[in-house]
Amino acid sequence: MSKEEFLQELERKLHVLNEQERRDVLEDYAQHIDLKIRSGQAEEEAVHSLGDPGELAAELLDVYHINSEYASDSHAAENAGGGSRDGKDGPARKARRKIRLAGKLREKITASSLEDREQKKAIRMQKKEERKVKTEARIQVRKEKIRKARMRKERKRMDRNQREYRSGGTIVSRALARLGSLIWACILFCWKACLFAAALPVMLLGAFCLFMGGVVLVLLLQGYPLVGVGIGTLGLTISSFGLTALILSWVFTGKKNRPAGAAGNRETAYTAVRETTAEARQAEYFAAGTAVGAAGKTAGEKEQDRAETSVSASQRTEQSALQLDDAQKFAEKTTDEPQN
Amino acid sequence: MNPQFKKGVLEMIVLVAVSRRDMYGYELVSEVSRVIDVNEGTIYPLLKRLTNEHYFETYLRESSEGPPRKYYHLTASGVLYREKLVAEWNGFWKNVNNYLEGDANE
Repeated sequence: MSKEEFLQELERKLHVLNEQERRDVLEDYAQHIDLKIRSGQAEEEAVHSLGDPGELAAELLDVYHINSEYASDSHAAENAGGGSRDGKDGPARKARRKIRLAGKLREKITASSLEDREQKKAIRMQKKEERKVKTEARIQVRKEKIRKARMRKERKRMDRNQREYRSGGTIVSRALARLGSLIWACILFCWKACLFAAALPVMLLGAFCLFMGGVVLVLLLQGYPLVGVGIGTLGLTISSFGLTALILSWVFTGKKNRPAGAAGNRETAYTAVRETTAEARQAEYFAAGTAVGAAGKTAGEKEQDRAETSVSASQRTEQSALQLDDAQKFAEKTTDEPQN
Repeated sequence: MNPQFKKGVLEMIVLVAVSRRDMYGYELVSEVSRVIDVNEGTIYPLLKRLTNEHYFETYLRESSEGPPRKYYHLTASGVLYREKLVAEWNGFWKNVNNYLEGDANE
């Protein structure tokens, strides 16, 4: 028997399985035969060593808890149905065919429901695992956030200390700095007020144009030749509203862009960071490490680079811990199931 | 050898083999056939079943020649199952051997 024949025979016997599973199984066998041939065996021999495709199919179906006789019966029924179609159809034969068809239908339904159940179970397990990994990652992220916030606070404190130290703690300079920032805020407020004042007439113009547009439209419908004016009004309306939106966005998002405090503090912040490098760096490395760990875990879930030796060893232990839990649940479930 | 003997032991050998290192189908078949003479085709349904029961998980890995290979990896529940099987096997083997030796002494 050649490789093609063997695979075709097997595929025919496994027709109750869904497309993906069947392809998976056939690929396994095809690869096995290819590797055997490459290792120097004849094709015939390689196929022969796998055994009878019928027996293999029976064992494979047994894996999915499908009665192999059932599957082959339905196949036989199909063939028989095809045969009787050629012959003359007596009433008795017709009735028999009907019965057979009904039987076939029922078999198909049971087979597909079994398959469905298997698949659903697999999907459920997978989802559970995914959820677990996700919560793990979320916890990591939250921890990291807390750590970062703590670091930020620490840095701020250091920064303040530094500033006081630099300015020699003189009251005059501190008051001056405060005055400066107050003036800056005043200027900013004035600028924003101006912007807002500029936006108002534009907005009014837009509203007016909208109104005019309506008037022009009515006149246009009455037959006045106002197409050009109408289009002009429309353009003016859109552009004035656009301008308003732009100005308002400047006014209301200005806070985020304002780098005044940050720029002033940047230098001192740098020095503060430099002085606390050892601590901060350690913390940051730790954070990065946990991030990598989390990423590694998700990557492990993706099942790609898993076999890459030593790095994955630690991952595996983590995963194993996860799965241990799962396994116990699963074991409980399987022991419950037969009783049902 | 009695095929019924092989059937139970085969599962244990496959589990132990994969627990030593991740293997792909063909590799595993050749490894197992060094230990017991077994019909090569029947290992694949066994692998399928153990995967369906979550004792194995699979991942694809590129090979230098040909299509990517499907590797099998033992999960935590697979480890538990392997230990259970090995313990059962040891107990079974001892009992049977004791009985056989007792028989010979009489």
